[in-house]
Amino acid sequence: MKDILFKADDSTRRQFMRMTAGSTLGVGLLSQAMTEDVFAAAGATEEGARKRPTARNVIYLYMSGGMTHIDTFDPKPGSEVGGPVKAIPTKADGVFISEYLPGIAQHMDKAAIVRSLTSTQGAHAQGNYYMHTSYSPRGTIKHPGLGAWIQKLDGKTNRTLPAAVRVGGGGSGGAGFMESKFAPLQLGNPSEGLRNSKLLGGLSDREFDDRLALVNAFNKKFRETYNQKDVRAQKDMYEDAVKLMRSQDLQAFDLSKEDSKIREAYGDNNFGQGALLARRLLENDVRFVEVNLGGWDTHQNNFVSVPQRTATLDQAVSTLLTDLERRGMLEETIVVIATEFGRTPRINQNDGRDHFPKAFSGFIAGGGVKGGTVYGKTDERAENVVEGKLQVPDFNATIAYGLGLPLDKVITSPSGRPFTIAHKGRPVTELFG
Amino acid sequence: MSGSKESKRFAIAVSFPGEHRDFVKEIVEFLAAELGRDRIFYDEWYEAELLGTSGDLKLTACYSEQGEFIVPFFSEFYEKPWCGLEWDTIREILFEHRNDDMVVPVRMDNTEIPGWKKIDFGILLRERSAKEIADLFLEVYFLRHPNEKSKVEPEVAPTSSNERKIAPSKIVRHAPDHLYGRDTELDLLDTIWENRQGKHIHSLIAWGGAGKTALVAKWMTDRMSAKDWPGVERYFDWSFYSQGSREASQTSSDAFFDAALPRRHPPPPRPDLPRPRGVGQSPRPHQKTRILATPRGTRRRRRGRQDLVSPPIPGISPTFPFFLLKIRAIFLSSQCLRNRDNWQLRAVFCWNPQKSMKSLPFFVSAILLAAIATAFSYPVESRKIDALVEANYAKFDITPNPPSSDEIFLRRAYLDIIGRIPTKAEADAWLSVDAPGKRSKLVDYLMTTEGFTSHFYNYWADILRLKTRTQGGTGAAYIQWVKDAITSNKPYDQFVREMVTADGMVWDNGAVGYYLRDAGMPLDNMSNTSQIFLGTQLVCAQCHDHPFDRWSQMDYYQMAAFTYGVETRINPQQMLDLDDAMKRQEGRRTTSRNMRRALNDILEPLSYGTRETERNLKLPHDYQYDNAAPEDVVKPGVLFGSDVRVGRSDSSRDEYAEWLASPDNPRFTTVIVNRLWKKVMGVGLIEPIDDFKDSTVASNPELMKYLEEQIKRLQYDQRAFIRLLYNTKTYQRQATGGDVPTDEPYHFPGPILKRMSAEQLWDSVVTLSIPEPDKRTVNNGGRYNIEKMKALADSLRERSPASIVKQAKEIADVMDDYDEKSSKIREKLLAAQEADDTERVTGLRKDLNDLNRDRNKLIASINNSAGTGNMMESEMSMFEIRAKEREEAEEKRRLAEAKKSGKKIQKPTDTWKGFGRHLVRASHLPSPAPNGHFLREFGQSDRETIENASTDASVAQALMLLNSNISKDVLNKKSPLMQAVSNAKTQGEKQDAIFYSIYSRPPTDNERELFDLQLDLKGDEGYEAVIYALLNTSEFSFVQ
Repeated sequence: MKDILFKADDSTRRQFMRMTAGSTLGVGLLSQAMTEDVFAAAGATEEGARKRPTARNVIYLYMSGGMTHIDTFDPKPGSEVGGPVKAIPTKADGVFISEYLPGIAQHMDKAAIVRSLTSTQGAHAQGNYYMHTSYSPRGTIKHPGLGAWIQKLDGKTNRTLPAAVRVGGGGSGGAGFMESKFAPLQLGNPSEGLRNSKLLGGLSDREFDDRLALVNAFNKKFRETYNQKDVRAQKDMYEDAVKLMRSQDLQAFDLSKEDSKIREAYGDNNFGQGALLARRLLENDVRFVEVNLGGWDTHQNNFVSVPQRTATLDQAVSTLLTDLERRGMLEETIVVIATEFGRTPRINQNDGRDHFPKAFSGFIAGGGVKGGTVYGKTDERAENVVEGKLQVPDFNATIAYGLGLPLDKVITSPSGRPFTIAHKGRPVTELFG
Repeated sequence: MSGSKESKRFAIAVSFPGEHRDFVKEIVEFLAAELGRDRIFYDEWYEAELLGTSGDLKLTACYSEQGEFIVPFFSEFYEKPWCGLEWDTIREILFEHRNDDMVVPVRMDNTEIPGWKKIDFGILLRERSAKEIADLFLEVYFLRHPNEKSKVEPEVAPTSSNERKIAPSKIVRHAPDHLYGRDTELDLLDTIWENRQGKHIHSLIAWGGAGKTALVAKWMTDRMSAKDWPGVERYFDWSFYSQGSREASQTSSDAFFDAALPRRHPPPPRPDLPRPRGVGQSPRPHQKTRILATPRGTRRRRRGRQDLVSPPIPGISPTFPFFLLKIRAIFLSSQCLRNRDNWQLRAVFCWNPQKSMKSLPFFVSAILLAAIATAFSYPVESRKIDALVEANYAKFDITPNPPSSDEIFLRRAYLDIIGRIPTKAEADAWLSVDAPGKRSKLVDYLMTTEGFTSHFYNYWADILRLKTRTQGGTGAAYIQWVKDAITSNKPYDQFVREMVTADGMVWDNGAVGYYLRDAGMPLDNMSNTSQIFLGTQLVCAQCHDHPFDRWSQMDYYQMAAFTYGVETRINPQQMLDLDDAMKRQEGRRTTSRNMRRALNDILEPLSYGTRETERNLKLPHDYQYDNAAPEDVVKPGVLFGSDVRVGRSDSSRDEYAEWLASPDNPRFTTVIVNRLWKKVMGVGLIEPIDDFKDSTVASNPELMKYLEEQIKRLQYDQRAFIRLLYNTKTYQRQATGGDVPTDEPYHFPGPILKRMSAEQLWDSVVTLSIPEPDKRTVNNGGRYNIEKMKALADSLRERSPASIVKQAKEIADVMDDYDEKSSKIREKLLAAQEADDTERVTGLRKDLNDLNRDRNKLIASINNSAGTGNMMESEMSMFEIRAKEREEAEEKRRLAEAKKSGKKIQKPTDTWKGFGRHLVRASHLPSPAPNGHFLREFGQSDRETIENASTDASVAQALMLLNSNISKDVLNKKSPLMQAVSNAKTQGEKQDAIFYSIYSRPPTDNERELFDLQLDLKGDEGYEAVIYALLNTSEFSFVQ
């Protein structure tokens, strides 16, 4: 579909128009990714780990700063390392999680926990990059994040909206070496809607139309003189922008359309509202939404700060899972909770925990995941992985596997170097039923 | 298209006896093919006009009044009655207008023609064909009418004045066929001529008969005209006689003064400034000089036919005072031409000291024999570059684009050279000047402005991946270093050498940032080095032999071994040798965590830099090739070119830098030349610009070779080099209209159309929105922080280890105390949380905060008393206080001065009062700009990989221009744009103001109609609507 919000690619546009002349969808709605890769895939054999997808979309909840595993999904109650935090039973038999996550506990029957994650990166930026891209940061290339990969390998489905959106966060996980059109659309405040999609104050629809007509009139001569690709692309980009401004899809960004009770239920904060926005976007065929929750870097006062974070997290995630399920969307949506690393089992002098990439936890729900699964295990101090060690690329491969994406499909960077979606990670297939 | 107002109807009029008709007809056909039939007078073509009575008069008119020059074909048949009639006319012309030099005869045989003087040269037929004769005529014609050439090959500057270049007329006649033994002198003339920096007036002094005139004449005909008078805009020559010379008149010297002296006006206003009132109107100095130069006597003398037959009296000539005046005039005019209007007058005078001894005071006695003067308007090298580009036009059948209009050139020059559109005032000032060489002058001027540094910095920031936000602010120090290097125009090779050999603290040497940028990734750093400076992509060879190139993994490791020893993490404790002091203080070496933290904080300013170590690079554990074993130590070695002798100096890095940035390195020079060519013209001579292979050849190898020679000659002065490119005709042509295929070489019929870079677009919006956009900076702590960190680092290095350890100990004690107290409060806090006692929780939180604040205060006061107040707290440090004091003192001084002089001066900040703080040029914003910033939406590089900027279109860009507050900034009542509109009086002027501000040109009739319609419909709001619309057009965001 046409990459509104992204590069307006002329050749794609012409190509598509030829192919779909008479289509009711209008002009220029098919992305290059769709034309190239879908057709390529159609002819390709089912090599590698590709299977029938159990999900098509991802809500990726990223805990920025390094979420403590011990105080969330890998509790060690009553031990020296566990601190004051207790474990509570969940809706899945025999699965206990932190008392800080009572809401999520009620959804454990739809979710799997991975307790054996391990990373090679102990600093925030590097760890964040690694988690988002499956590659360690390099000075010579920038790797794409999952959102870009999904689009590149599987195309997008909405005509006007981008395939990937990110609320908060930033830095790694963009388009990387891929074309900028694959970059996720970045939103700051989820309640503000899409930036610059509303008319300037004081401008009526009619005046706006008048001005557009004027733009076209002034453009006429220049466009005749310079009939070339970049100039035509600019013309398309304006047409697409106006189309977007008038599109129904734009309302996906408008949280005021939601019942105020629903908004409250998600939590009156950017993360909660971001999760709600994620649901709305998925309803409008966006494929990948990342929502960031910061403040996990608890070097000090871990047991004061963490409950504040988990309260936000728990409320948003439990509401989201309920909401998705009620709308029948959970089956096709993978909800992930990820972070760059865990935190030291040892509690420091400041009552805090420091960076700990050696062992940490992740969470995957919905999208065909076998509910109540706990994968992997740490020792009693939550210090070493003793069972089912999972590298970061393996974790990402698992998500890709759920989406049915070809893990071994090589995409070549413009500099001629080969890359795959999860850097040769091996998916944990047993998470899926 | 004749450049001359007085150009006559015919370029060439032929006169011949009928016997030669066939031959002459052949010649005129050739001439007509080049000049057009309507420019050749050949009787058969104008039969209708000549028919009737008084054919003789008509014919006479064709020769004497309507011909630029006249060609009689002399032969034994010529003296027939009919021809005699023509010849009478021609002879009349010869006498009447001898100085105009209109007659060039062809001598078909050796017949003597009465009235034709031996000193006048004609064309001897010899064995030449009609074509050869025709070509010779064309050559003569074009030599005299250089502007006429534009018919075949358009001249660059359509606005240059109508004066024509003045042809050499007299001196060349003195050129002997052979001049023996004067090669050295000829070379010397070449040298002094080509050296622009040297003197402008040169004298040849020799006794009479030594051959001065012959030398100059020979040089002019053989050397200069053979080189097509490179770079010459106007050319003059004249000769005076000395005693005994048969040269009678002043020939074209008066023409020289006529052409040169009008330039004695004050120089045209700088293009950035509106023309000051009253300047440029006073003709006084000019008239004065002219009066000096043309005393009445001379004029009278020149009128008569007398001079032709009667040479002047030998001895002390009555014309002597005239000569002196003339010489003075030449010096005066050379003074006024120099450095003005971008012209340089170069003259060679020949002097004869002989007479001086006899009759006149020494200084003024020299007699001018012959002189030529030339004014250069653009560099010889640029002209040569054009010639090399044009060679490819012929080879590949390319039709060059026509020259760009002044308006388009102006806008392009501003955007390309200083990175923003011109303001209306700047556009007005430059467009209204009518002077030859004004484009060149604009280029030169722009290259000296702050805007140039700003724009060139953006260019390098993208290549070097400059980031402001890095740990400890090291990025800012590196950025400042790059900016300083650009401002001081550091030679490129030195720039590169300083980066790759950088060592020490980043505060002392910002170039260290080159290594800190890839801290902990020495292998990647080497990949980047080879990509940026050698255009060679090694990164594949990092893990295995390069699959598409000849580089092996061993090659890669050998290169990397040069810089592998560069340690990017510095341990200041080790550096300052604190161990002993620690032992004394603590009684042991290992210390508490708080002690370590306190030390780290104090020593932070010393921890950013590089250090050369002995660290060896080993092959990876999975090395798979036969030429070495895994984990073998690798010795440094270069990829190509002469081998580096490691161990010759203290550091292998110095050797490596010498090799890398040497003119002998086979890729170093090519890469930078190609980069800069692409920057100017839009496409490289080699594409891609950073992936050279052994098989890579430039699309124009001769041009590439010449450019490489030039940058070497200029000693890698980037600014001087791109100046040559901006001065070419090639650059000054119109941009190519249609699609430029990316898969075949581009032969530069003109530059290519480009969408503005994110920075150009943003800076242009800023230009429309605030006054003096180049001058505004923001204090984002950049430079300021660097100075502070440097001062801290310096003071630490001066202090004794004991005092530093003592300070750390004091801080650690405070922290210990805090830890103890705070953990007690935290326990209570947890208990309160358990009990859900919110009131108590709030109280305890407050206690915790207070405790925290107290701790920070204590630490700050310890630091301040130790003179390193900084890192931990926000109290104003002594450096800030000092800076503030400086500012206040400066302000006071200014106010006092203003009071004294009774002038009201504006405070420096007043210029931008009321304009949003965000409106500042891109180079002053953090690099990269934050996500979602205008710059990023329009494709500014994220500074992650080399040259990662993009000009791809995106819908977010359209939304930004359509719906964001950007248009509000532009439409602010105080913006330069809106000021220009409100200052304009009539509706038409207001429309002009808007078009000049945004497009740098006036509206077309069509656009004016559209505009009028808006104003009719919406009244004054129509202006706003049009501005909004123009900002959203392609013409605004593209560089034509």
